[in-house]
Amino acid sequence: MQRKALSGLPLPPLKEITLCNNKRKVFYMRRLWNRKLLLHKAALPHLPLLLFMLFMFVTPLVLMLNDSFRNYNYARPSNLGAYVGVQNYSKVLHNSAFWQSVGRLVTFVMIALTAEMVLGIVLAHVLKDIKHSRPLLSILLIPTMAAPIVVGLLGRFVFNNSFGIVPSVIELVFGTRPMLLSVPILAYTVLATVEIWHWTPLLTLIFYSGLISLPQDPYDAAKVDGASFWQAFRYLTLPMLMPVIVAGIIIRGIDLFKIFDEILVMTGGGPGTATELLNFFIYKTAFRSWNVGHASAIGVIMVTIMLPVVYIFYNTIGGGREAR
Amino acid sequence: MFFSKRCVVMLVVLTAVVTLGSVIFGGSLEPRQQQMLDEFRANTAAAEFYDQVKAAYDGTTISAATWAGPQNEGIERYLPVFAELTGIIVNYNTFQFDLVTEKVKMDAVAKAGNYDLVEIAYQHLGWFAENDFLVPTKVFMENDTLRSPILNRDDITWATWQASSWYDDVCYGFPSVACSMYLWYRKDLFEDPTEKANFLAEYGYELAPPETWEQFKDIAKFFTRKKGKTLAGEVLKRNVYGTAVQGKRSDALTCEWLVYAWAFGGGVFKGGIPSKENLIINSPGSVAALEFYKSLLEFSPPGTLEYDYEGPTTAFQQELVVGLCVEWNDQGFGLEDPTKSMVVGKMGYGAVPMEVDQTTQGLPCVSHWGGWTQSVPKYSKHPEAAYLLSQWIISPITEPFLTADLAVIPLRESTYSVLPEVANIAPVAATGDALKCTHYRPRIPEWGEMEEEMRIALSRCLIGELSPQEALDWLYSRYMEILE
Repeated sequence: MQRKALSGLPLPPLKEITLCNNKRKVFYMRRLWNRKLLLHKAALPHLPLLLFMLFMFVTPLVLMLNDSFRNYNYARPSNLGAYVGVQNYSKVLHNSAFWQSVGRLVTFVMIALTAEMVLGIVLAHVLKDIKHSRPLLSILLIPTMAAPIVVGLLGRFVFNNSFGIVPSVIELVFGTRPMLLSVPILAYTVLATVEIWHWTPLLTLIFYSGLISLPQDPYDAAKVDGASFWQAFRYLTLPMLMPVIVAGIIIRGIDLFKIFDEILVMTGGGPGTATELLNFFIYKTAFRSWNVGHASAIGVIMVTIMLPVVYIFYNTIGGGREAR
Repeated sequence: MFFSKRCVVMLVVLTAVVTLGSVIFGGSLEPRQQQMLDEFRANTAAAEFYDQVKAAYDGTTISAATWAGPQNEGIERYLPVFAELTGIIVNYNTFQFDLVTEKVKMDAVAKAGNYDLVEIAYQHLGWFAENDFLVPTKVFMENDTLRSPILNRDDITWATWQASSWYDDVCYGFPSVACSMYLWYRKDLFEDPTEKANFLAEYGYELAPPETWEQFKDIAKFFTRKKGKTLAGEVLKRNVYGTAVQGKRSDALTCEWLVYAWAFGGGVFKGGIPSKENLIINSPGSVAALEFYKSLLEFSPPGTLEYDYEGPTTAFQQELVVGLCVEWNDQGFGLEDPTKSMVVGKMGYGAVPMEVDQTTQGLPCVSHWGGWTQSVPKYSKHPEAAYLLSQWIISPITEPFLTADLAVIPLRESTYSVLPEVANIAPVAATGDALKCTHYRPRIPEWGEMEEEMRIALSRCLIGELSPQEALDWLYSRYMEILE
């Protein structure tokens, strides 16, 4: 029977392989050819998607990279577009305002992410133990349906000192009306609170889906062994739920790094620079100062920091291989 | 069948009725629009001109990006008249203050040509002009087929036009908004006998619109009262305040503080001439102005650091602030609107006091110019049609309609003679005085970045992160870097 490769091309008979080195070479080259062909065949259906991704994701990155090495400062339009080497990077990296905005963003992400994770897991547990929890889950998901700009506006009204409901309630209870959006630390906290309120339901949904799909047998066994709720949670739920938790952390982490609309509407980066997080700093550099070269350099730095962080996180904590 | 036959018939009939209705009634003009159209047609020269325009541009569609101010709401109302006259369809987009500037700048940088006519705040004109993003108006004015016979350029208030639309002796459009800042005060309380007597007893001089900044502060302090005290014979049910500061990190903050800076002999550039050598942002006058400005927080509502343009307006409307403040004239119309305001007819408007030796400045008071211009961008797809629109908006027939409807500040001298009652509207009358002592923000391309840094410096000072001297020293060093 003649041997056929998967591609349909005939391979030389097996006995010929051993005849001489040249024939062996031919064999290996043919095998390589067939593998390539196979690869091409497999890749072909994905080609439109690959091209789309190349166009949509890679092109802007390449353009941004190009702009980051050029002078695109429209406030000083002479020599516009000229190649300036790493000058933009140098200026950005020596700018204390940039590092401060990075620090504020990282702190913000850590605070909001931790709070959302904890609240998400707690709420998911509570919902899991409630009968007919689906209507509750639907109600809980309402904030996630609102656009960030709407949430920002809502936050601006709710926390407004003059007519906001939150300062009114605090005044009713404690007798003093706080200036929630005028004091730096409070404005920062309010921003984080709004973000947590907006997106915790999403994590709740993700964790809830993970929890209800966990096998029951290990819990039954743990119960027989006399494990407490906390022990079951610590040694069973958390490890089994870890891939879901990591997915949640990555999704929300990336999303939190992009926070912008709420800042623009609620505080405008103020008071002072208290809520001027990195994205707002980029926006300010690009669209208020119109220094597109600097803004591009900051964007490239941000991507450079983000990609390895996500990669390492996914592969070390999340057991990425298993998930794959 | 998903739909019954009867249902389909009803849908068809309904669609036909709606289409027919929109064809019959949708095309017809409102009485005011019809009146404007009749005035254009009654003017022989204008009618002939627009007949020729219609023949050339009928069916053209243009797009405009403008600021969401009262002027543009009025213009939108009368666009069907322009369409009737010229055959040009206009997509008139209005955006919030910061957004319109961003949009039109982005459109220019991308060379997209999404907008055929753009509205630009005068302080950003230098950015557009230096980047060669605008078509000089001369190009259109020299074209006989585009020049309206009723334009009458001499009738446009020259100071307003120059301040809004000219850069380096080149005209880039027609003025569209004439804003200026002046003093707001509660006239009824200033005239109240009890309040007057109490003020005289406490401060030793008559209660009247302030002529010095010390008087300004005295009045702010005098009207700051706790719940339970009396105001004009009435017991207060909540705390009230003597003034309001627009303390949010926004352009409102920089606009307001600059009035104080100029009044105290400070500012950005000495003599308004932009150069590193002329920087006076941390001069003693500027520092004194910021110290004074910050001291007013004591007599402002607790939420004053969240206020932008609308903050003081709302506070006055709701009688939370009952003294005085410095504000924009266009916000004044909100105070005289009975559907929104509790202080209709109770407000007085006047000049902002000048602290420094008036002879050096040559001005009796201080005001802040905030005009806009409507210009044609270089990448406009229909530049001529866009110019025709801007020319129609400023025409001596259109403006009185806009003014009468919305009480916007006239840009033509003749409008005051056509509508003499306009001059008696309180916010308009005070504008005339304010325009006599107007100061301007720099119009250099760097101003966008400089203004952003000023917001930060002022905000950091108001929240107590930096002292006035530290804040302005920091700003000075940033300006030196920017102007390098």
